[in-house]
Amino acid sequence: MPKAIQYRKNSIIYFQGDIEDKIFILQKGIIISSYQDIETGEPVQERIGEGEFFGVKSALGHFPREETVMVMSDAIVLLFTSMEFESFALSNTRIILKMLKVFSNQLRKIHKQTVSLLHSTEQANPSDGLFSVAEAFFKAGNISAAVDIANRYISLYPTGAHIAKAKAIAAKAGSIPEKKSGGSGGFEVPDATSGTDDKQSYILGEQLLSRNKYSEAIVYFQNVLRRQDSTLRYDAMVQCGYCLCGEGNHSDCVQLLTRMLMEAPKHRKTAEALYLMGICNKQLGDAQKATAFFQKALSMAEPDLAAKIKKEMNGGA
Amino acid sequence: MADILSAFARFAKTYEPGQVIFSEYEKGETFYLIQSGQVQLVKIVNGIQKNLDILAPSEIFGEMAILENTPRSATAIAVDQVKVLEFNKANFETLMTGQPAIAMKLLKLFIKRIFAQKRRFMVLTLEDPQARVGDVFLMLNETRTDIAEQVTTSREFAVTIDDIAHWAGMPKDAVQDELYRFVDQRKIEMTNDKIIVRNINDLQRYIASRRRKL
Repeated sequence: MPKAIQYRKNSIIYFQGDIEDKIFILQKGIIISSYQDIETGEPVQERIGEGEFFGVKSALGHFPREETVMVMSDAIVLLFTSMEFESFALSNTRIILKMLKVFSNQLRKIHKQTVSLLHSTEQANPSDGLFSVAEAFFKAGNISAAVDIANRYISLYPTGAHIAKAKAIAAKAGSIPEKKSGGSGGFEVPDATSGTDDKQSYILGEQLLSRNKYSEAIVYFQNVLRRQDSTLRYDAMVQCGYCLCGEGNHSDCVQLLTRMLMEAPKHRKTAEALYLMGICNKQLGDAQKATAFFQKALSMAEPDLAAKIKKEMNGGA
Repeated sequence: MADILSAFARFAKTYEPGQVIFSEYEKGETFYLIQSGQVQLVKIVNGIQKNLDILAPSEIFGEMAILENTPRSATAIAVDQVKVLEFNKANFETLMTGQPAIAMKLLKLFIKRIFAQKRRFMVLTLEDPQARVGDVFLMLNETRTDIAEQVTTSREFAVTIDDIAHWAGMPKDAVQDELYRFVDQRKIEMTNDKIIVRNINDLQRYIASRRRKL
């Protein structure tokens, strides 16, 4: 439930840069929001109206506050945690729709400002751009996407500069077999559950892992592991280890990496595997084992990894 | 969620594996919520396909269609059979009113986009080209969530010169010159596939000093 809070004149509700999980609505009084214009750096002050929400973007997005909010005359505000706000808003869709309108306008505004600052340096002609996409897919051997986009070009720009070439690509529908391997930078839509190129799967898994999408990344690494002869087999095992560790599945991670260390003790990712074993054992409550793994990992780690290991050994999170 | 969404079946669309949902540079008037299947986002950079992301059920994509007359910035391709809800101006209010959870999700997505766009704008306000290139690394660093990495001051970025040129709004040659200056000053190292900022805190101080001179 939201709480009503009374603020005295000249008090600060929050400062720019604060990170907190609070959303407010002004019930009564005068409050001012102060921030710097992002284009000129000039200070800007805006009065918040009664009945108006503030602090929504930073609280829901988990970003630092962009403004300082100061009370100009004694005021009463209602305070929501972001969870309270969400459940309140979910039963008052009108509020979300109103905010969507405000935020989409803000997004349009900042987008326009960005485009004007860029002086159109990267604004390719959409007609040329669309054809270049079809052509790139075609060259990479992804014929179905190339044909699909070439057909879109033909229908959008029937008298466009690239119409002849677009028609030539569109005419390839069904006539050329799709490339089966990546080769010269070719892209194929991966099938994580069947025979996809293991390098492609590995790269996709890495991309997902870098975004902390552990459960999705693991599907791609498992695809690599299904191929007993893959040169990326042990790399994939370590990456799977990162995923399992990230998901908090420490026992499975230990099991998998134990296998990896037994099968390939001198692999280039051995230090990383030992580091992960240390983290998992630490999480599983076996401090002695964790230290042993960290020490072993440290003896063969590159400087960056060594710093991470030392941090873990010194009790870091 | 599937049950509730079935009420909006008339707005549902199915795409077969490999089918293009929308293409980069096409004018966008619709955005999508994935109900089942996976969608790959791909961007063409200098004629080479770059995989941006793979999206799973309940994720929204193409939402920048709210920016009128702005072409799509990436191509969306169905990885497997994909079922989506297609939103447009006409059905937007019906769908959002009937399904507030989607509206809340979109609200949060807009918030993220506003912050990301503002941050990019901040990069572009720097007039000194070297500072602008440096600030791209700070911007990319701010979006990282790997806590283990935060213990060291060096940061690795798997970015290309094209990526930096895009974020900095500068020609590729100019970006390359500034990167070499950073290398000469021993602030960064460049390898074939990554750029390493030796001390992110030093870079932060440098950019802050350039920003104050505005």
